[in-house]
Amino acid sequence: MAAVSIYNVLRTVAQVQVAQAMAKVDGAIVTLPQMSSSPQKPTNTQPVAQDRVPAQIQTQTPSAALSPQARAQMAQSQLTQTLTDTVDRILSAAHGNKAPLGDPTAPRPQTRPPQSAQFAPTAERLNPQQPAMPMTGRAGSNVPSAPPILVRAITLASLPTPDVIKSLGRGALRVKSELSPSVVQTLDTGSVKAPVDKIGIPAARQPAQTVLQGVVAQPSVQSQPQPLLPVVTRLLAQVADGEITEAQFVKTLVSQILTGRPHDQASPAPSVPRPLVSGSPILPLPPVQAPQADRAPTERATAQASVSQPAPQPMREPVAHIIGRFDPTGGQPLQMTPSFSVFPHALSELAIPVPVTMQALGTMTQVPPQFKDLAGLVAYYAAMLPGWPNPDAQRLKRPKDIPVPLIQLAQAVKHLSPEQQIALLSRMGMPFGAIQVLQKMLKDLDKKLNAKTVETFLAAFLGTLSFVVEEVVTFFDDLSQVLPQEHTN
Amino acid sequence: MTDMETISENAIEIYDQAFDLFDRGIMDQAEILFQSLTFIEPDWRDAWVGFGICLRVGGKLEEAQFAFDVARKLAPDDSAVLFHRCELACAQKDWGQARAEAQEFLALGDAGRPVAGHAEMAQLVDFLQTRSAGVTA
Repeated sequence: MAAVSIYNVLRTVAQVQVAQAMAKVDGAIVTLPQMSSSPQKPTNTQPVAQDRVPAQIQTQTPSAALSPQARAQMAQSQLTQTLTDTVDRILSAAHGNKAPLGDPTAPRPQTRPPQSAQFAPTAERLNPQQPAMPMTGRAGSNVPSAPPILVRAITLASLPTPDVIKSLGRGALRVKSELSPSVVQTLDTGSVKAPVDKIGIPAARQPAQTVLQGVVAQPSVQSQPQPLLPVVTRLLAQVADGEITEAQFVKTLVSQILTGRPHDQASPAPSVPRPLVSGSPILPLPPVQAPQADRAPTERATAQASVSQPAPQPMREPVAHIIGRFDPTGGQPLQMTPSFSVFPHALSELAIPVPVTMQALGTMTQVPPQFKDLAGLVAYYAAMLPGWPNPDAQRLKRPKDIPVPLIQLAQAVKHLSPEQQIALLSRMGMPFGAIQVLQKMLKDLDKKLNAKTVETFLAAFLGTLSFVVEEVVTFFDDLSQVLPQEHTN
Repeated sequence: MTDMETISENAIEIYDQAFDLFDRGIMDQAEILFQSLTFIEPDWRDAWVGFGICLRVGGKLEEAQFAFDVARKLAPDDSAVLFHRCELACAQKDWGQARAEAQEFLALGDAGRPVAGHAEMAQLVDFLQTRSAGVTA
């Protein structure tokens, strides 16, 4: 019994001395929690070893206290020898995470946090004063190979808490979405691998034609629960009745939004194509042969689509339908020529910096398919813009006869807040890449493009994305309530 | 790096949920939300760091490396990023890289963003020094 007690004392003293020796030798910060004199509290609930030493000595030395002083000195010599042996044993056992001695009740260096610390409460785990994990590697003859921080100890402590984020971020999105339910629902289904867009639009959308047909098939669009402006409601009704075409709907809607008044009052009779400024992108159905001057942009667009979409997806009907209006060949595939490579040059001319994250995403082994597809789609239509700059169109300048409202319109779009722009594009189901491209385009809109091309682009793009027409209409409804006020300022 | 004032409410909500899921030990779903944040706010350092931490905890070291690489590009002088990169390098047993990250961390001094993992970083530095001494011996 006495031998066991002395053994415990020796072992405890040895632990302290080993820790102190290591601290002196390498000069590094020794954070062994059981022995640290740091004010930081370890995560384990056991008292530190230093606290145990005197207590154990007090409880275990009464038998030795009866010895005379000489006997005590002899015991000290034996203790020293035993201490040396114990140090060796401790050092040899330290790297194996093994208890140096066989007494399971004795305090031992903890190399693992208590189980309760794995998922501790947030406030506790995020407390910067709490070291998440003691070291497992110790100085000695062996080279430690195990990382000192276990996986379970890796927390979000290095990140600002949501409360901090909330206090810093103003959350300027005007359109509050139902993001959380959709995200939760997606999580519940366990099918979340597609990115969630900004306002929580599910990645899987209804097919374009299905939604559009659903809108058209509505006997009375007034029954839609969405708050629709009278103009939009009337236009939808006209679409439903077949009085106007989809293209006319989109064109009128865009004009309504951009100018604050209808572009051309939609009439049941097909409108006669107006004289064109720089192209003929939007024509009433059926497709009309585009002027020869439009061949180059169309060819560029086709080339870009081929480049940006290595694995073309089956094109939705509305997309193909609208593209057909632009295609002077009547939908026949165009052959690629060397001149089709002008689009990347055009991008470089615009000095569009590629965000670092986009560069990084380019190195991702698995890019979401919709990212590629929609980004390519945007590039497709960007290249289709009649006024899109290219090496042969350096001289492109803004015509003087651009209607003032359209310029204001372009400016309004340009000066939309990033949140508004992203909200618009998010409602269209556009992923990050496409948003980035469009934002860059919007940035240089008034410099590189003219109002006609802007209108053309928007009409074509929105028409292409008619499968999200409900979202677009809703956004335009919201936006139109803001734009008139801005125009008046 | 994204200005904090430009972070949308929705992104903050996702961040809050991701944080909560992480704290509850639901790592896979926290990872999904952080990944979503990287798409929604691609220039937000915290989104990438959180994403990387989830990946790291999940044992997806290469993916975590990518996330921390992006975070590093967004915030080159962020001590939290350096800490996690150092820890990840240790997990990958890339000791040279770990030492480099640790040295950059130490070189930051107080210039880097305050990080709650100073104690852990001290452990890493101690560990690397100890190991380096053992190798040279």
